[in-house]
Formats: sequence, structure tokens, C-alpha cells
Amino acid sequence: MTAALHEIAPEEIMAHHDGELPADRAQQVSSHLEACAECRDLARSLSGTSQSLAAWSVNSPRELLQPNYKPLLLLDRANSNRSISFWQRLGTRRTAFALGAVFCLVLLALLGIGAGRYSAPRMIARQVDRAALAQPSRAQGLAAEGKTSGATGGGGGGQGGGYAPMQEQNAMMVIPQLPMIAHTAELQIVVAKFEVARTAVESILARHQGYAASLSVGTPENAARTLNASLRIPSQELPAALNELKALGHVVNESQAGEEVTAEHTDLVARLKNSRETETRLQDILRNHTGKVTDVLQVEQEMARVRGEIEQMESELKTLDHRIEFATITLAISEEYKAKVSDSTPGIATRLHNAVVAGLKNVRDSAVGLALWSAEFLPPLFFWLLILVAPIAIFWRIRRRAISAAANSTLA
Amino acid sequence: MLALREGSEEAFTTLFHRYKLPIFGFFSRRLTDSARAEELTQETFIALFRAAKRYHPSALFRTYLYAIAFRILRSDRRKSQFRAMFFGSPAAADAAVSSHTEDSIWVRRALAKLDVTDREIVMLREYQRLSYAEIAALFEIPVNTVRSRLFRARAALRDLLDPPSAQTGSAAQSAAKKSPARKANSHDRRPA
Repeated sequence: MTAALHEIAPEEIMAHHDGELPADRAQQVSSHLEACAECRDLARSLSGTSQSLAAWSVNSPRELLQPNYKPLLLLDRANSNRSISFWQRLGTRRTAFALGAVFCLVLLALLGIGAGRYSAPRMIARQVDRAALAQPSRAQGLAAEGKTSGATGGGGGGQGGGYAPMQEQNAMMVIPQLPMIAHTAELQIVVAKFEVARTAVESILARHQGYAASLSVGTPENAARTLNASLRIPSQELPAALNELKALGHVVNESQAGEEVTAEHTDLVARLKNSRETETRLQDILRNHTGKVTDVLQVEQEMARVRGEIEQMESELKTLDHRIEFATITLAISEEYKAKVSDSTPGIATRLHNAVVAGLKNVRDSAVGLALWSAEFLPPLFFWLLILVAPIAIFWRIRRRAISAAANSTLA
Repeated sequence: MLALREGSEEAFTTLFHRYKLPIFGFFSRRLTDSARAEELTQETFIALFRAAKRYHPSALFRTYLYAIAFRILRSDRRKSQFRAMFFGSPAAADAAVSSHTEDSIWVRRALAKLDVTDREIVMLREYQRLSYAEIAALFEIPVNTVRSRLFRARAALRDLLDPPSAQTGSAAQSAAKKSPARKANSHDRRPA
């Protein structure tokens, strides 16, 4: 049976059987069915199939209770009215995961801090502090260079391998009385009269026996003049000098810091003392003992090395002392800028030309940048996409198949 | 449903008693466990109650209700499949199967051989008595597609359920030949 022969498609006969056709079309199909035996057979077979399917009846449920309306209503109202409290939020799975992660991070951080606190250098420093608190008079006596107690730390103190224990021992012995602090300060000031401020800075330096480690003055066109300087002022004069500098104009930014260098200073002094003693012993060997020329040469080489170390450490110690003795002020003075009446900006044509040139450069740079980025990051991006997406796609396909199989097995 | 949206308990009771058996039939024909079908029927009505405030009568209520039931069924299958990944698939509910008559077993086997969508369409039409338009709205496909797929599924089912010698009408035979289910093993066919 075809639509050309019967003018009624088999689907339409089925729809007629199901009562899904409009009235006029249903009448046409009915007329056709009366005349066409083949289509009647089709309608009959469809009816038979429906009857066969109807053989699959379902038993009545044993206990199908209606959900209780009032609890549902109360629950619904409670859900719509309630504002989620903090503790209820805690109950949600996502929040619980987040809190757990934060807790783990905090725990790790605490463990890390704890490990750092009980590490060997910190333990030694703490013992030094305790000893200083317990024996202030002795600490005072040991503080100055050359006035340490008689223990010298043995023969190998200045020679490589046994140095670290010696350093710790000296740290225990050389206990300063007061903390040694290297002061630094930063000032940003805006002044009305630039020249007056510059002169005042020089006079402040002279008055407090300080000096300028570096000083630069910028006088850009159509912009405020600036003065950037690094001033060194004796530490005890720092508060007074800062007050005078702040009085020059309006302070935009001010910060002060003090770096404690006591441990570094103590360590340096102890190492220097050991090296000097080593040098003295080497001199005694050279003076009193006789031996082969090669031995003498070796001793002289060792003396030269120790001498070099001593000079280097003396230099470091001087620098450190200087940092303690002289505070550093990083000063930035800028002028209150007043725009000049005469405008020296270039004309519109020039600016347009400059803008076009800059635009072209930007286009070129961005294109090159994009190409470079693509060359650098696209291959790994594709690689990771492949790595990450492929398992998800496979998993999704397996899952779909499994669901379909489950549906089929349910019916089979 | 509009009365339920306004908070009428009576409306909820009426809806439940009117649709509980169709919905239970819907689930029990798709699950092997009758108790689970009962649970899902109740879940469907609870979901209906919760969704009542958002209900807009843009489609027939029956379509809306079966859409909810379909979502719950899919969710249940997904969960059971997920559980099966870790704990293995549960033993087949032989008791549930054995409680059916021999005819129903043949029908189930025949339906199982159909394409998933064709099977759902024919089941919704035959057992839930949904109109073509309702099925089309449920699956979001055109009505003509529903009609053609339904015809194809019925032709395949007739082949599977009735022996070829018993068939009459060359038009039906030609339609059945197009069906992939035609290739089904003759052992699965219902004996004459």
C-alpha cells in the first residue's frame, strides 16, 4: 500500500485509529476504509497490536499512600520563609568541603610555623636572649669587641670545617646589652617653593652632621620639579631631622623602620676575633718553627687567605656600624605644580600623526604578541584539553550506554 | 492544579487520586521493583506539590505531570547506575517478573527490542493514553515525527508479537520490513 495508490498514508490510518485526525480528514479516511480492504486490514492489525500490548497489565499497588499534605505544606512554608542561618550553611556539603580545605591549610601553616620556631638557629637565638636576660652585667662586659672572655674556641676555629659550631659558641658568648638597630625612614613631601625647600634640606644636613649619599633633581617640562635624595643622619639626630624635614611642606607619605642587626653584628665580631687569633697562631708558627720551604709557603698562603677574610670582615663590620650609627632617610620632594599659560603642546596634526604611528606600532606589537602567545601556549592547551576532555567523553558515553542498557534490562 | 497553586489541600487529594494509578503504571512498567515504583510515584506527587507555585498552564497538566515523572525516572536510573558502578548491579527482581503473566513477558521482551525513544513513545500512547501532541511536547519533537515513529514502532511490535503468517495486509508488511526490529530472533517471538 502506498500513498499514491490509496491517497491515505498508513500513518493517517493509524492516527484515525487513535482518534488523532481532524473531523473532516477522519471522515475521508473512514470513507476510504469502507472501500479499501487492504487499509481495513492495516487498521485491524494495528488494533490487534494494541490489544496484544494491553495484555501487559500492572497489578494495583499494595500500599500507595498519599503524601501527607500538611507536613508538606509546613515544610514548604518553612523553606520559603526561613533565612538560612550560619549553622545551616555550615551543613551544606560545599561549605563543609571549603571549611575542611581551609582547616587543612591553617593546620599546615601552623605546623610550618611550629617547625620554624623550633629550628636550630632560632633555638640558639632564644638561648642567647635568655642568657642576656639572666646575666645583664656579664653581657655588658662581653658586648664590646676585644673584651670577650678568654675562651678562644680551639685551633680549627677559622678553618672551614669546624666553623659552624664555633659560630654558635661565639654567639652564645658574645651577648650584646642593647639591641643594635639600623634605622630607615621614607618621606614624601609636596612643597610650595622648591628652591627654598632644597636649600633647607642642605642646611638641615649641615645642622645635624649628616650628609647626602645621593641626590638628584628633576626639572621636566610642563611638570612639577622633583628632588630625590638618600640622606644619612646620625641615629640620635633622626627624630629632630625628620621633624624639620616634615616642616618643609605637606607630607604625603611617611614611613619608618628599624632593622635589628644585633645577631649579625655579634656573629661578625666573633668570626673576626677567631680569624685574628688564627692569624696570630700562623704568625707564631712561621716565626718559631722551622721546616721545609713548601711548608713555609703553605703557611704563608694560609696567612694570606686569613688576612683577606679579616679585611673583608672588617669592612663588613664598618659598614654595619655605619648603618647603625647613621640612619638613612629616603626623601622625595615634589613641587606643587601650576600649569603655565603658554601651552607648548604640539599641534593637532602632529598629535594625530603620532597617534597613528603609535596605533600602528600597537597593532604590530599585539599581532606579534598574539602569535608568540599562540605558539607558546596553544600546544599545551590543546594537549591538556585532549587529556581532560577525552576521559570525560569516554565516561559520558559509557554512562549513556549503561543507562540505556539498564532501561533495556528493566524491560527485558 | 491552579487550585493547588493557591494552597488547596482538596485539589492535591483530587489530583493524587486521579493520577496515582496512571503514574504508578508508568513507573512499574519501567522498573522491575514494584516497591520502588510506589516510592517514585509518591516522589512525583511531592515534586508536583513543590512545583505548584511555579506552575503556568502553558501545556496540559497531564504533560506536565509526566514530564516530572520522566525526570524522576531518569534521576533514579542515573543514581542506580552510579551505585552499580561501585556496588554492582542489584539482582534482577525475579519475583516481580514472575508475577506477570506469560503474555506480559512477551510484550516486555518485544518492547525491549525497540529503539529507546520509539519504545517510550509507544508506551506513552498505549498505556498512558497520551495524545500525539502531548508526546511531542514531552519529547520536544514535532507531532509528525511522533506519528511516524509510533507507526514504525507498532509495525515492529506487530512483527514481534504476531507470527508473520498471521499478518494480513501487504502495506503493513512493507512497513514492518523497514523496521530494524524485524531482524529479531525467531526464538523471541510469541508462539502461535
